[in-house]
Amino acid sequence: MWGSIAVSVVYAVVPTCCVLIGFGLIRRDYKPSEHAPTNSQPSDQPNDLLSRPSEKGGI
Amino acid sequence: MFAAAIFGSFLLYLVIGAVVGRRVKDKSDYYVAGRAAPTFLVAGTLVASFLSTVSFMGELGFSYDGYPVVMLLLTAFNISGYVLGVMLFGRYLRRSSALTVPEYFGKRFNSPGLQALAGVMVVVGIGLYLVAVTQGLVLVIGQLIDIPQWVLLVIVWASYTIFTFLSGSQGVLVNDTIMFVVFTVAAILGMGWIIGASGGPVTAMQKMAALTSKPDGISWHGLTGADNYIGTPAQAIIYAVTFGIVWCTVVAVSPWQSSRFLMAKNEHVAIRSALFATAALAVTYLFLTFGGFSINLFNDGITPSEIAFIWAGQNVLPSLLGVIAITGIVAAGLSSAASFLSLIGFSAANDVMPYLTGKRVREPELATAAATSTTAAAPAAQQFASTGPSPTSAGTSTPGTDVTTATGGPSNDSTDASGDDDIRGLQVARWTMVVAGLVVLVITWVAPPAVLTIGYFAATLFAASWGPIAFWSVRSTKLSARGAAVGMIAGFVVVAIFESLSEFAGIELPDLLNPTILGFVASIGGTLLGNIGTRPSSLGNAFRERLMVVPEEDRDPVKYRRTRTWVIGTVVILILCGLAMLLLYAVPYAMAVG
Repeated sequence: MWGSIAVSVVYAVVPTCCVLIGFGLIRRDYKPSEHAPTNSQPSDQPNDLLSRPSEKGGI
Repeated sequence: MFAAAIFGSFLLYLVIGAVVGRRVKDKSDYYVAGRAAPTFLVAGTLVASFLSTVSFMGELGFSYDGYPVVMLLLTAFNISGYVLGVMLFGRYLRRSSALTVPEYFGKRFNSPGLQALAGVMVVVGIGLYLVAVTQGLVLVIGQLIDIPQWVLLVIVWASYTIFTFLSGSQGVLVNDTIMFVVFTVAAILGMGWIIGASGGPVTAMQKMAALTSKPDGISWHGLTGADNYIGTPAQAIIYAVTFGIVWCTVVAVSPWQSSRFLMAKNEHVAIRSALFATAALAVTYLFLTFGGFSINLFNDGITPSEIAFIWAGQNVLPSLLGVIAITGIVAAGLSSAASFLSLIGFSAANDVMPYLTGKRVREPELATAAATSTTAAAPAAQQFASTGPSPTSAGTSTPGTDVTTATGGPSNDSTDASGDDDIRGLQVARWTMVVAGLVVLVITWVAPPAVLTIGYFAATLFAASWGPIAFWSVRSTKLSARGAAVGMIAGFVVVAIFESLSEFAGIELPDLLNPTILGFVASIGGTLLGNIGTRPSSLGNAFRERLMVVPEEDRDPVKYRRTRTWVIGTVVILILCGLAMLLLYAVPYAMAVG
């Protein structure tokens, strides 16, 4: 009985935790109030060069 | 009626392929649908590429055999790969503007050789998966129509090959979404009807708990014992968690899933698509697994179990629902087959052939040395940034890009390598796809049918060989092309050898030393060993540095708020799924077994 309850809980909790971890990253990287570039390493490059929108077929 | 519905749907897909194919103008359209797809289309293709005959036949048959809850435990880990995948790999892949996932690896490590290696893995690994899906399709239609199997095989193969030849990613995207709707409706209505006909969820659950032919089939560990697929409850957990993590990795980094993000209009679209896929699969698998086992209440002796849903469609469901269900299974198989064939063709044409024919042979060391002598890592990144979009589209090369092109830097995009002739590249991709498809046809012809086994084997290959490298390539600046190549090869070879020994030679490995775990360890160990004594490419690291930057267009407050709403909606759906399991499975089951 406890096994079936545990699986039911795991079925909801595991993906929910991953979605919440993902949301933490979304907040860190996309929340409008935090406009700093999210380089994982320091960079001396100006933001306007780095923050270009992706364009069709381009790098 | 079933035959008419199936051939009618084949015809419909071909018409869609022909219509959409008229809009394909260049390689970007053909490979990545012009990078302009909205959320619903990307989500549709994510789910449609994932759910195939492996799911509707292999996994549903596994549930029918007495493992529905084990399958759900596996699914809990499996579907978690969507959000983790898009956040830790997929969005960076999209920023790379590559046409294929192997091209990303090639650019990231400044190594055409690594790109070709990854391309070969795509061709072999997805080729195997395509064999499994094609076998499943032939098996489905063979149950309904009495014509020779070789004729069916040729019809099935020709259908998805012509469709993919004509329309490429554009058609796959549209068709996948239509098929996603068809088979989701088929799964939910079909399985829902079967559970309803058994007396509703609570009564059906109690009847399943009392099923004498498959005792414990509805318990959390399923059927166990020496004569069964799983020996002990502990092995059930190990099986579910191990394969759950394998599929989580597959969903996160495999080419047939992560490449869908290359088509997304922006990063928020990619993230929302991943959320949508998570929720959609959480709901769909509840129906597929419990519905699959409940077929036992009507007939507990269907052999092979892979045709359980088809049997139910013909014998249990009302005619219209039966037709929808079987058309849904065929749709799931066709959509995956078209996606897989397109990926095989793209990789062969874009990643492997240019390397083999010498059109894009560059020495990574030379490139790195040249880059080091002329520019440091950061200025190199500035070059990528300042030269604007690199020559993905024909004829857009600028003097700025010539520096990196000459040194073989990442901005030397592969589409450029074929002489900037986009139209010609398109034809090469199409015909390469036909040749790759012919090889798959021959293998499917001679290989014995084993839908679930071959499907899981191919998935494991990618999880072990690509998983660690994909995440590592985003996080680390110390990884070299040689380290990545050794890691990929080690994971691929170890899984291939041990899975083959286990499946075909009957050698039994200890539970904790199954081929998947060995493959992961080999991949990580191989990467570390291969990395010794090498220097990571400065151009490759500069390329990575650029990938770390969030595009300005994606910092839009409106987009952020909408994505946050999607997160909340997904969490609500997941919690409701857990509650439904508690109330409609755990409690009735506990009452039934006392």
